[in-house]
Amino acid sequence: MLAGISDNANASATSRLRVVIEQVRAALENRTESGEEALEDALQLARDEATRLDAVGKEAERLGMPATPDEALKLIAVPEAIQVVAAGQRKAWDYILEAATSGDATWCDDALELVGACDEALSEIEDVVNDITALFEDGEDYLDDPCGDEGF
Amino acid sequence: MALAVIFGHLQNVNDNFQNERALNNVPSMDGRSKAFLRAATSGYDRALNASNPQNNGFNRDESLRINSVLHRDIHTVTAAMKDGRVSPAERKTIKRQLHQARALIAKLREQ
Repeated sequence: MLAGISDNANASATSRLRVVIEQVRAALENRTESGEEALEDALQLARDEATRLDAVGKEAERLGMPATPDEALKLIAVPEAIQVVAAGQRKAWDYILEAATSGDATWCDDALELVGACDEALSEIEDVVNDITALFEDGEDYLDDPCGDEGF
Repeated sequence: MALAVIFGHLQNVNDNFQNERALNNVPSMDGRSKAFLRAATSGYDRALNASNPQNNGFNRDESLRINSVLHRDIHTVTAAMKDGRVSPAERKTIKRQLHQARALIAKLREQ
């Protein structure tokens, strides 16, 4: 059953995606009563995740506003790349929906490829953010005071 | 190359979702800033075009271009820091943006 997956606070978003993909695939390949139930759970989870990921994408879009008047200092690519990954994860859930509603398990293959790409892209973005952050660490207590005096 | 793969999947439903939507939603942005944003995202647009099956799938050069757009943030900030062009207020702004970026990455990872 998928309910256990969605309730697991320790599961990462991508590991949850992978587990659901495999459950949907198994349900499609061996249509049983419990399989049908699993598909229904997957549909609900996919809808919930789509809503959540849309919200993350919108936050990233707002973050994409120019940070400073100096165009050399605008952190544009980072927010945009985050938007792309949020959209990618959402698309993976769309594929799961497609698989569950159409009964075509090949959508699971597309979903898995996309999940892997999202994982990899997140790591790349994280590396970039870490590298830029390192520029600010000289003599500054960045991690303890990320808001500075202005606050959020 | 991961972003290129994602773009390939997004292409059918979300052409251009980066560029024009972002620009339209920021009416206060001046022309110079919009021009820079267009330039920064042009790599993504090219990747979208390159991922068109009629163009024989992904083009390695386009995928590399996407990564260079992402990493340009590092290079431009590094250069500006070295040149002493970053004021204390700007440092604060960038730090806040980095912190928010980390928070968003955490939301996508949910770990």
